[in-house]
Amino acid sequence: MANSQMGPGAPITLQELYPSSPFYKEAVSLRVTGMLRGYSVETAIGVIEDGGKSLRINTQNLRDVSFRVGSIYQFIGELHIEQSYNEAILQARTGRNVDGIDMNLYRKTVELLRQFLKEEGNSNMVE
Amino acid sequence: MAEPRSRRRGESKNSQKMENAIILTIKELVHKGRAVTGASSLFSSAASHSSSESSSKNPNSRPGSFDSDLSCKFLAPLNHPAVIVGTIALPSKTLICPNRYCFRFSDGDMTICCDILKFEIRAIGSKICVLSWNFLPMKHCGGFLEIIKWKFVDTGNLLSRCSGIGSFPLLPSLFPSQNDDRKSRYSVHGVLESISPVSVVSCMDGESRDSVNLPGFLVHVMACECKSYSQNAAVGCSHAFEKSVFVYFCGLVVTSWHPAIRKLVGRNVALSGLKKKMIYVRGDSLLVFVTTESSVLHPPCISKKQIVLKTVVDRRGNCGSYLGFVKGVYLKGKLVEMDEDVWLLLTDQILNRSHSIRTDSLICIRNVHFVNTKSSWGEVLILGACFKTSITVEFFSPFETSCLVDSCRQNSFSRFIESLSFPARFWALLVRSCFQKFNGIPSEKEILRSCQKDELTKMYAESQIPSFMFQPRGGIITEFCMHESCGCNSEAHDCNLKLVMPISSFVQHYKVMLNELLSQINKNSSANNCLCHSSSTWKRDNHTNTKTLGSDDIGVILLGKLKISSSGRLQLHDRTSSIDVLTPDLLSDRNAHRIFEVSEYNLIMEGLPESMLHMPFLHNSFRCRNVVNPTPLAIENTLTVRFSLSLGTGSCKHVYGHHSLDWRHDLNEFKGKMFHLFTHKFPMLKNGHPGMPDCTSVFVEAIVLPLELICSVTEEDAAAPDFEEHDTSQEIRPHKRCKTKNGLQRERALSVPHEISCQMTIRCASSHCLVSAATLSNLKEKKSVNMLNAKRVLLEFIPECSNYYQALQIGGCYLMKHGTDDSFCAGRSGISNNDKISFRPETRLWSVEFSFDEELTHDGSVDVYPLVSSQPSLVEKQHVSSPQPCSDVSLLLPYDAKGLFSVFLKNLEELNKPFAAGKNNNNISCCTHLETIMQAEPSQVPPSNSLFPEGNLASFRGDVVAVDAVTSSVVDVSSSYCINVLVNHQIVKIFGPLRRHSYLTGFGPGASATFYRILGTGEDNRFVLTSASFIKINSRKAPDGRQLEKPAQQAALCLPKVTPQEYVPCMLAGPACNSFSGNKDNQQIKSACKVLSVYLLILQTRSDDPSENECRNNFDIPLAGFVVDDGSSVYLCWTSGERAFTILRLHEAFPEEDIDVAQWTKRDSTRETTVYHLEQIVRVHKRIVMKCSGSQIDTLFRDITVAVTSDQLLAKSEDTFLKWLILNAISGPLWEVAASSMDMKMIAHLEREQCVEIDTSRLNLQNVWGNEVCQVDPLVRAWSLLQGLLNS
Repeated sequence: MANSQMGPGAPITLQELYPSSPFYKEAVSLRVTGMLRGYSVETAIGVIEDGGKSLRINTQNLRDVSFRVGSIYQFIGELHIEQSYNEAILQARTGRNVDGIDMNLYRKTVELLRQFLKEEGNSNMVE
Repeated sequence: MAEPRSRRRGESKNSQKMENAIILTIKELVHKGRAVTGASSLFSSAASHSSSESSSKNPNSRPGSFDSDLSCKFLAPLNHPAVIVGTIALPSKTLICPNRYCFRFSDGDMTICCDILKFEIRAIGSKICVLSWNFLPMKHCGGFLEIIKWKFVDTGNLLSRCSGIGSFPLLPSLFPSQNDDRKSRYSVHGVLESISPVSVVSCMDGESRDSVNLPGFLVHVMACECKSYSQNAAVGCSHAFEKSVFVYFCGLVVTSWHPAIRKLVGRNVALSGLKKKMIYVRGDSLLVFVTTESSVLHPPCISKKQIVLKTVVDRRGNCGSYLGFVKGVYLKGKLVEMDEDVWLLLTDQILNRSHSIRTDSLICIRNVHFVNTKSSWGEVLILGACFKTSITVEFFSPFETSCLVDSCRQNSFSRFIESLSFPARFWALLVRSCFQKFNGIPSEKEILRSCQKDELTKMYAESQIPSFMFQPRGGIITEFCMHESCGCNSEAHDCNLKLVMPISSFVQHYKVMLNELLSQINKNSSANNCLCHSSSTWKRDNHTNTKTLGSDDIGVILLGKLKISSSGRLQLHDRTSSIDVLTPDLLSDRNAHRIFEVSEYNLIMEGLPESMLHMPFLHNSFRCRNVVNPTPLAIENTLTVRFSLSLGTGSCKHVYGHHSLDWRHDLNEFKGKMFHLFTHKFPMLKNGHPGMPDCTSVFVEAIVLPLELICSVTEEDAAAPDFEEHDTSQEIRPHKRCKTKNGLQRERALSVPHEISCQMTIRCASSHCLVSAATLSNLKEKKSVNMLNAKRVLLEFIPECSNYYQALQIGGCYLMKHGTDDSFCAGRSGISNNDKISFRPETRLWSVEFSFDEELTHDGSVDVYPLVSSQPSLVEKQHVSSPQPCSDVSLLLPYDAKGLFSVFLKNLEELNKPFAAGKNNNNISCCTHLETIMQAEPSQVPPSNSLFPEGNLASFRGDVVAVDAVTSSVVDVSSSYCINVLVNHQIVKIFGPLRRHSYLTGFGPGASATFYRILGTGEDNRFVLTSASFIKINSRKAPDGRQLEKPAQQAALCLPKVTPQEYVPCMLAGPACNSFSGNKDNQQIKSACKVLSVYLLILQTRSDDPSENECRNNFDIPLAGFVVDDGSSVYLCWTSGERAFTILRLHEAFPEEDIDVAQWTKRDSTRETTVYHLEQIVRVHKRIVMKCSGSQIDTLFRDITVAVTSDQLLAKSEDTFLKWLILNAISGPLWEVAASSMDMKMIAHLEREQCVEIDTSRLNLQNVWGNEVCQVDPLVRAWSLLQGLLNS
């Protein structure tokens, strides 16, 4: 495999996943959250949506998650960019239903977390 | 009767079908003795228009609300078509029916009563085929047939119905009438307005000159003045029916036409062959037509009438007609409920009540009085039946309801009822139905039989009904003929009588009202404050949310017996329910069978939600239906409001006194007997653990006075018919001169004469007093005995006698009957201090009070001398509203004896103080009632050994100003409440673990209470309730400061103390935390945590009183330890009570799928919470201790031991349930716990208090005490966290 070492899934919002974004790379590990818009049983590919953006999720490796359109799910997995269409799809490692989540709060928390990690990283570097 | 044509077509169609119908005989029906209907069997096809008339009308005609509480079932239909063939006959002597004048139906074999729809005169005596019918068995004459549909068997008879052909001689004449009698040449043609009931007139027989009793009845016809009646003119004639004419149907045979004529009311009739007679009614002459031997009835023309299926009211002036469905028949048919708040009174005994007036039959009442009564409790339309009233049944009831049978003959009660105006009659009947509720107790069966209840009602009603509500009755003829002027018309419409109600209906009424109010509030506030609910557990329910309603606004009188419940509450109860009562004066007599009337009271509703306090109360009017039929509606018990009554002085009256019985009994009790005097000093605590079965005795410390009372009631005294009807004054008979010994002259003499003569007044149950002479004699043979020789003893009350114990008042004086072999007498003088004396069930106690006459020879003012301030006593007799003394026995002593008693009093005072110093008590004599005694001198608290709180005990009286919830600890007793009491214009704070459940009835701001044995803390004006404390409520004030009762000079009944099971001290912070204002010293940490495991759980029953089960969970968690994790550390959180309930999620709905709990769950809204099921277990086992004995936190269930105090084994299912309880707690949500740390001393204290071994060292965890627990809303918490992070 190209990437033998898997990184932790960085929590992002779907808005941050645009072609020039630092997260928009092949095999980058991400944690994405959004409402399931559609799901195809044959291909095991679902589409989640959040803030007007959507992302396709390949769920073929998931076993114990039941999919219901309209519920909110969170997936951790690796991004795969299909060259032919230049379209991203997340190869989900794991996923869960997070119905009831407050997406506003979540976005703010993600920001705060990054800020914290950045400060932490900086201080680590100083040391 | 009218019949739509379409219906008749249906009938002819059905007549073919009828051919294969079985012909039933009456004998068969009667032998089966089953209520059946032959209505639906014949015409079951849907095509038939007239299928089962009686049942088809029902679905759309009965009001919806009626369906729900109707427990009747439909008449059983036959499974095959069946007809009955027979003849209709007029009433005759051959069949004696209690209702006297009803139709007979005979099929040759047997005759039964019947009623018939669509009656035609021609049917009488003709053979008819009954196509559709109901049969109801009756005790009296076998049964009752309701003929719904019928036809003539002989079809040749079926002539045109409107021809008017046929005339019916009223007497079966052997010779055709020729109208040759010149006298009987008159005829009357007109509309039959009304018919009187049959009455018997005594008259002279023309031939034998003997007096004979002739039955007869009057008919009022609005006749046409045209002279002759022609049969043909009956059709479409243009007669003017304007002349009022009375026709008297006279004679035995003619009177039998009564039911037939009754059916013709409102229709056109013609009578010929009448003679004229002049009668004199009240001095006025009146022309009356009288039937003769040749009188002939001409049947009416059938007019087309609509069949109406709903209530129709046709009123002309005061009288009118009313068509409606019967909703209930009560009191043997005297009271008939029609529609909502419409009641028909059929009180006149002479009225003919048809058997067919059954629940859900449609009846038409003609010429009935409409009386609208308005009063404080509601508005009711009374339909008062008089002699002009006639009732016909338009549709029979399809239900299997019992027939109306006039079983009771005229008695004094019915005569009494008849003499009242309609509102008063209605009221008296409601009272009668309330007295009905007092049966069922076997011991009083012989006293309160039905006639006795009638008598009781009569006596009670006579005392209540004002004289203008009585109306003279003029007899049938007067009232019928001179109806407008005889007073029947001039009713007093305003009914100021208060409604008498069963207690259950009364309480139910307010529960319904509060529920309505609550739903209104919920509706209003559903939109806003959606997050508020989560914090509700922070605040514990504020018990002080109280509302009071005065009896004047309520307008309801309650009748009941007073009893003391096992939990020590004084309750008024009738058969339906009971309600807590606060009263300032009470007879301590043991006859629990006396009925009291409570008319002046305040209804106290405690425990209202905060939001409800500011809402105006709804003024729903009371439903009289609930009075006669007190079946409580099942309403969801969302509110746990306690209802109690606060009574004013003397507002609790005996309803009746069957004088002679009671009085003789009392007299016999006293006659020539000797009594001990003893003073009850202080009720000691119920020992015994709450979990223990209640087989323990209770003890009372008492002082036995060295005096004996010898009563010298003689036979002559007993025979003296001295008592008056009502409350009598004290001075019934002239004073008997009492002998006074010379040696008694010295004031304050310490020596006692051997004998003191006195006058004894015994207050009997019948509200009168019995006066007799008595002698107080010295127990000791020695002439001079120091009063200090009074002995302190311990009275033991075995559980059977706990009733006595509850009724005893601190400081009260009691008489006890002398028995030769009781332990009081065994030694006679052998009682020594601190002896234990058993009190046996057969021992009777009377409360006694002493008064002193200045001069026994003259009837001057009586100086009353209370022994202690709280002693019920007669103050100034002329000023006391109730002339009754408050104690059972009062002794009038010579004034000289006062000195003696003041010594005695002083003695008592000292003894009554827990730590009597015996010094500087010089001026205690004659202390006034409202004076406060504060005896606790601030003293130094000795260094506490922390096992028991120490300090001086005090007793005082004051007004409760406020009760605040605090969480702090005073002298090692954790307090949940602080009671601010105003004593002598000073605020005194009393701290205590008083919980809502242990709340005394009526306690709260506004109550004037006496606190006994309150522990002084050493700080100024700070006291602590201990397990020995005793609170007595003297009176209550309304929140606006208005005194609810008249200033209670008399002391209140001793209310229950804070019993040890309600007293759960749990030590909090150490003695350092002596600040009561809050928890500022107490470092309280709030953290969100999750329950990992339950370390210890103690469940125990709270009270043994089963009556409390209904509203509150009846068990408590005195201590629970949870292993909790707040994300950073694990610690052991101890808590108790409601907080533990919350953490264990006991109030949540029971998740059925979690565990196989088939035996625990029955679908029922009240049973859906876990707490319900747990309560069942705790009730059985009294006290359950669950303990995790392992050292590992996460080894679920492996090391859990369950110990129970009951001798029953823990069932497997119960064990599973308890373990599930732990699992349920562990899988609970995040809790926000406000906790403070605990040290080992506190743990040890808890261990001692709960008698458990906690052994916290095994887990090696930090111990904390959870003060507050509430569920965390993660979202709210997260937002606030974020906010905090962003701000920082």
